[in-house]
Amino acid sequence: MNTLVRRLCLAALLAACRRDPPAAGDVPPCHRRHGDASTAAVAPLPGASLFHLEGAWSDQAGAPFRFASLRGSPAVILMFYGTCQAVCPILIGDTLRLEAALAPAARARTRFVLVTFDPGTDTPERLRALAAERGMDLSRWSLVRGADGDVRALATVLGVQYSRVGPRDFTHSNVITVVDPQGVVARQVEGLRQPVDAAARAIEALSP
Amino acid sequence: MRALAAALAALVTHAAGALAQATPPDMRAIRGGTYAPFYRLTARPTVTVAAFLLDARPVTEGQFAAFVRAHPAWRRGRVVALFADPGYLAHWPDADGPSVSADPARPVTRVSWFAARAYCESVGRRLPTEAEWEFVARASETAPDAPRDPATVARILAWYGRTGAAPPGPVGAGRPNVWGLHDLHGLVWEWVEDFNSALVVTDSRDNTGPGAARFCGAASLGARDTGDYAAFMRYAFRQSLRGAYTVHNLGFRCARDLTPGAPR
Repeated sequence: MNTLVRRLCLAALLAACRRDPPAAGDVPPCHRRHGDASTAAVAPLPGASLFHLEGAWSDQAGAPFRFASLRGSPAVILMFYGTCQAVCPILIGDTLRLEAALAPAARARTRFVLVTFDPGTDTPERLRALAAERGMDLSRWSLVRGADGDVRALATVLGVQYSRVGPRDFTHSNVITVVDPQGVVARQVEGLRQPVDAAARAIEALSP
Repeated sequence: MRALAAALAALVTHAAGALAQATPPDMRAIRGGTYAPFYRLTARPTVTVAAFLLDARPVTEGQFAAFVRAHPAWRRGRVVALFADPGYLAHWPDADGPSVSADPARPVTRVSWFAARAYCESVGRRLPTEAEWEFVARASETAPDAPRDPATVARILAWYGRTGAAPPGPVGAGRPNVWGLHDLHGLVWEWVEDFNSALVVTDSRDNTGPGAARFCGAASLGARDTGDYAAFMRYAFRQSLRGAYTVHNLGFRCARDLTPGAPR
């Protein structure tokens, strides 16, 4: 119940944000406190934390999603697009392989976030279908979409390069990113079908 | 007859007003077009740019100082490390004070992509896309599409070849190109929204190593027009950047959609 109330409050805050966009550069009131109330009072975020990123994101259920909600957990972030035939299914497979390589305790506290390059095509329905098809545990996995400018900003902080080269086609770099519980990039796996054991050990070493 | 003349005059005034409203005095309206960029994509050999508005000049230190005063989160001493590296505005005397530039007429440099974006957003504009910027950069002083005009190319390459960290001169000093745009070449490099596009593989000789694995679709890329060395230099430079980087000769200008919501 408490969680529900908190979520409703967060939704209201987010709605307020969107109605009255803050002047660029200023930290709007709704972002001064982070979404997860249990961590709102702890030390300020490190400067390199990607939780400083703003943006109106939503998940596979169509519910608001905030990267700051990952605070306190190690997280794995992958940018992809759903209509990709060749590479993205492999990258998603690599990320699932990383999940499977984790010790059970670490797996239970790690969050996995897939962010689409193509929010127009990757609707919540398609994201849910992808999650079901690939057997993703939605208590740990979020499939997220955002506005083009926010996707570009996230790609920029992750060092992911991409371009739209057709109506439903993108060229992009293949990068799986591990962030620590404060949102700072801890490790990146570049390329396809790379070994994931080192990344798994790095996640296990991250204390919450 | 007099009524007709008055009506016509009103109409003309109205049309002029609408046009003036569409194009602020510090921007230029760029008629869209299609061009073949120097790189070639199997899926997209040409690039089409919709009509848009672009600042006639790079954003100046004076303009950026006013922005920083209004938005203290972008002061040098306060900016979040994720959004700007330690070189941000390093040449300004004052880290956390009223933010006064020593030379307000020169283009602002040592600003990150995030800072450039925030500035444009603060004035109701956005960064130009790479396709938009490269489209207008093809113009000479007399023609909209002259990427191989020998005099223009020679001038651009001479500037690219110049080394040293001398501060740039004031904006708008040189002759504008055919669009009425100043300083696209010869003063500072400029940020674009999608500077981290994946159009150029960092090292194309490495087709089998990690470079090939890192990119989806890398095999479909290739240089189309090796004569357009200036464009190659710009793409290569952009690929070397990260969003928080600041560089002594990298500034920006802002753009705006001509038709709100038009695809770009």
